[in-house]
Amino acid sequence: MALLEIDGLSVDFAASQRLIHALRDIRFSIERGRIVGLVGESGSGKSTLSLAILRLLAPAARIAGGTVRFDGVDLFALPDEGMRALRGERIAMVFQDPMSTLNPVLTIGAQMIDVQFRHAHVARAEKRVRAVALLKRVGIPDPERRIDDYPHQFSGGMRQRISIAMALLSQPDLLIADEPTTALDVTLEAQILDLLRDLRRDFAGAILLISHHLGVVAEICDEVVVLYAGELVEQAPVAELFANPRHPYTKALLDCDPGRLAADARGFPTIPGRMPDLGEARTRCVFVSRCPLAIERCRAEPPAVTTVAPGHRASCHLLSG
Amino acid sequence: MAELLDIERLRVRFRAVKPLNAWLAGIRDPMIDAVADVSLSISEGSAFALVGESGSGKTTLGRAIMGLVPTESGSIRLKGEPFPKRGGPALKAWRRRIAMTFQDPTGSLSPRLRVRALITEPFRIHGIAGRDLGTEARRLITLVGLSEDFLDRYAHELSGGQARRVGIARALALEPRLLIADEPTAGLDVSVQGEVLNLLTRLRQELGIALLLITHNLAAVRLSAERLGVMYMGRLIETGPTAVVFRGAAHPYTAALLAAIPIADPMRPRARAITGEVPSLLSRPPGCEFHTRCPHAQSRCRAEAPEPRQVRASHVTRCHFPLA
Repeated sequence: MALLEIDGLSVDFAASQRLIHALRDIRFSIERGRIVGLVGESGSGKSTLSLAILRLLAPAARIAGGTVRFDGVDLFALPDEGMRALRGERIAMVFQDPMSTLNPVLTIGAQMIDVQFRHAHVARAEKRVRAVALLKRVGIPDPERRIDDYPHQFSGGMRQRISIAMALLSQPDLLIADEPTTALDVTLEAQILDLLRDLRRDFAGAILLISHHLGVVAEICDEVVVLYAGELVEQAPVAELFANPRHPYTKALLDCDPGRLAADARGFPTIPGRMPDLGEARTRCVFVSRCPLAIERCRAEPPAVTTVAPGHRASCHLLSG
Repeated sequence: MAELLDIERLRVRFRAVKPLNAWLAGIRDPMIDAVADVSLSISEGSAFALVGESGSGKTTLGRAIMGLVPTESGSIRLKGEPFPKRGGPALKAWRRRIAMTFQDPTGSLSPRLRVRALITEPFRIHGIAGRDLGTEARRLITLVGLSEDFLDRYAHELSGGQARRVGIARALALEPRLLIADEPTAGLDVSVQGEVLNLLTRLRQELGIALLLITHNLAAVRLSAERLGVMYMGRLIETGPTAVVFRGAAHPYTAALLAAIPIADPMRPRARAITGEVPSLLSRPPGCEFHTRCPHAQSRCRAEAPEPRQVRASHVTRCHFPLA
């Protein structure tokens, strides 16, 4: 059984007079020990998906269908209390901006001891020892002394290491990292990616890494899920996806990566057009208005997600023959 | 022949610590050099990319060229003419010839004005009469690839990429000779980044303006600028033709930056990231300032600051032991 099973998940937002379909019929699962990358542009539904898993969606959002099973438990059927027991304990999250997760008026030691509140039988001194050990693990120099510093006394890269350490304190089964390196400079980003790569060796859980940066995904993920306008358009093992993308959107997205440009390229490739209105009913392919290969059928009916190779799925009429 | 823009040994200083706090903390020099001894030139119609990480002084250098921050020493010349000593009309005339687009695309546009007013504001500020502002607004919005419908929108009705375009249209209103674009791709999706960079290249070709592209997005630089300068702790540590630097960086920091770009190829073997972080500008390391992180540092690097040296034609670096 997979650690996380998302089955037919749809999320709607109530806007004035109408519904915005932020996610439609999302289906994929995450096995233990894997790092799964979730990629897509702004508005593709990446963050909505992670918040839906944690049941932290805004009040205007509504689960329109589907289930999310974590270790066999249907999260949407769980009472609030049961969900609270999972959050931060078995499912942890690292956010883009570490300053938004760390409390500026408490030392990081105080915060790292506080988040172990569920372990009432463990002595404070012991919790501190655990916190120091994790800070050391994520590469904070001189952790015995620095644990008594405040967040502002650390640099941005160090703060992100601290928020990763905090998320790992409870030894979660699933770590959701939402754009963990976007706010960092390129040399610090590379350091955090090194850290995540090292962590997976002794971290038995799975990581869901949300990113709009294909390079980051290629560096550390085992598997990739591509979202476009709230729909899953492709899923594949990382090597397969980058070597053999099957959905025209994935191909276009890969072509846009400036790192892949030929040395003699004259300009940057782009994806002409815009994302469709998310309020529309699902009567055609979501990518049809920007797809260079669209055929009549793409305008007439939405494609289904089909398996094109072992572990490789995509939703495109051109693939289903 | 004078270059379009000529900067020589420019220094911009900021007070980083209040005098009393500095005295209490025993800091002798509470000033930091945000830009330290930078010399560079940009010729008419060409593009120069300034890269480096946060705090390296890129934006401060751009703002100094615009006259938005005071300089400590050194010179800035535009077609041989020095930066005006006083403000007033001379500075205004300077800012007609150099325009800047700012980092936060939406934040740099007034939320109360429609796009039409935003992009024609420069005409009003500079007191340029005798032009039909309606015609100018239509000309500018078309120039940056947006339809005329956008003229009636407010900043909050624009996407990130559209706001960038409006910022560029506004900067081009007075037909400057140099456009300083500060992080034009920050926060944009990868396909939209390409659109903005392609637009800047097209505008250079059509209008013959020069471009100073300030960015930490190294991958974006390769097609957008002929020359490249890398900043570290306020210093320009390498300059050269972009293609040459990409093929073989001379400074270990440039090499580390290039190696750190995540490449969308899972099969590529990866280099380990350089360790450590940028030291504080309040206590610059002695010798070469990069020696604390440099994998090739030797005793000379810890003692003696490297002077700029030419490694090949128009390729200059500040390193005792250049890689290329």
